[in-house]
Amino acid sequence: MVADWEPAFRALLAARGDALRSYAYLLTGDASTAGDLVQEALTRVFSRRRIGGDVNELEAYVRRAMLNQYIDSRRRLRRWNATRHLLVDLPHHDDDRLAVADDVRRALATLSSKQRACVVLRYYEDLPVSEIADELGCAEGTVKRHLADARAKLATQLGVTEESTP
Amino acid sequence: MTTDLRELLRTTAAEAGNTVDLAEEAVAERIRHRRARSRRLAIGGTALAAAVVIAGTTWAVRPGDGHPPAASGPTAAAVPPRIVTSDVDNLSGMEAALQATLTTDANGCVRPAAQSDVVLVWPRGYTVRGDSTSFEILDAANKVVARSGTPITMGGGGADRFQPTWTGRDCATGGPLWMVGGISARR
Repeated sequence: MVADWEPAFRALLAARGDALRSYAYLLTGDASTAGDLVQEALTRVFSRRRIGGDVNELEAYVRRAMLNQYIDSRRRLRRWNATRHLLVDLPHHDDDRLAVADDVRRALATLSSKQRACVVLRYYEDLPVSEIADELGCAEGTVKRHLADARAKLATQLGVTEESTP
Repeated sequence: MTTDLRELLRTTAAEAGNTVDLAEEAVAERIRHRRARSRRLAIGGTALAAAVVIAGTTWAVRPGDGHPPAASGPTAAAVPPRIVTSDVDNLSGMEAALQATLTTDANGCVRPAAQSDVVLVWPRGYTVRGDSTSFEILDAANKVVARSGTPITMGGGGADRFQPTWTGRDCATGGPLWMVGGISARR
């Protein structure tokens, strides 16, 4: 017997699976970790006893779960990340488009988890600062500070022009 | 910067479609498993809540002094205590928890005091000694694992139906079956 959650689960992945993949990939910068992040968030959200059928609402829950999980896991893995480059060769691509993506991933990897989340939410998801603050559970001023710090780092590494306001 | 960075992020995100695996079927299976497990835990939680509420008003527990404390309630001391045992030697590996104080019903069947409809199913080889007002449960090696009147926490979980290979069918009231797992003193 198909439980109520399953049609909603299938519908969400059919409609928004790609968007969730992209979001996770930008947060983590690694396909395997991104897969784990989405899978765990889906498992958490759909393991709840009561699941609504609205895809947009479910997507919001899954994204929120991914974000929380990403920030928590980054805290735990901070030490590993600090030394990871000594042990793992980050992939290198000759293709121009892939090489750009490599550069972006490397640059994003230098940001703190909250800076990175702010950048992804602001410049990829196009969320206003107020909504980012809501997502992260912090003040708008904190988000602006994270964005400013992140932009300063990315401006140097990616050679893009820094703007004065988010 | 806004425009450039947006483009760069889109370029990077485009890689995700081919490389990030959502493992849809595996995730669906994991969700099924977790939902089933949380249903079992919910049963245990409900039982626990009922135990806390009813235990304070219905049953009195006498502290022990090395001897098994007496179970109180509508029991007859003349009826020897009995337990239901399964055909499995090991304690249940399920992870729910049931907090209870053991007593016996009018037929001598050992039950959680506050949830008299719950049927406790002990591993094969477990026995009970004493009388229906003061008894001990012993494991297959004759080690005492629980005493009447002493609050304990029992691990384990629910079972669907009473199996023909189990003993003590007359103690099965039709209420929930609890496969007894690890036992510890209630904190």
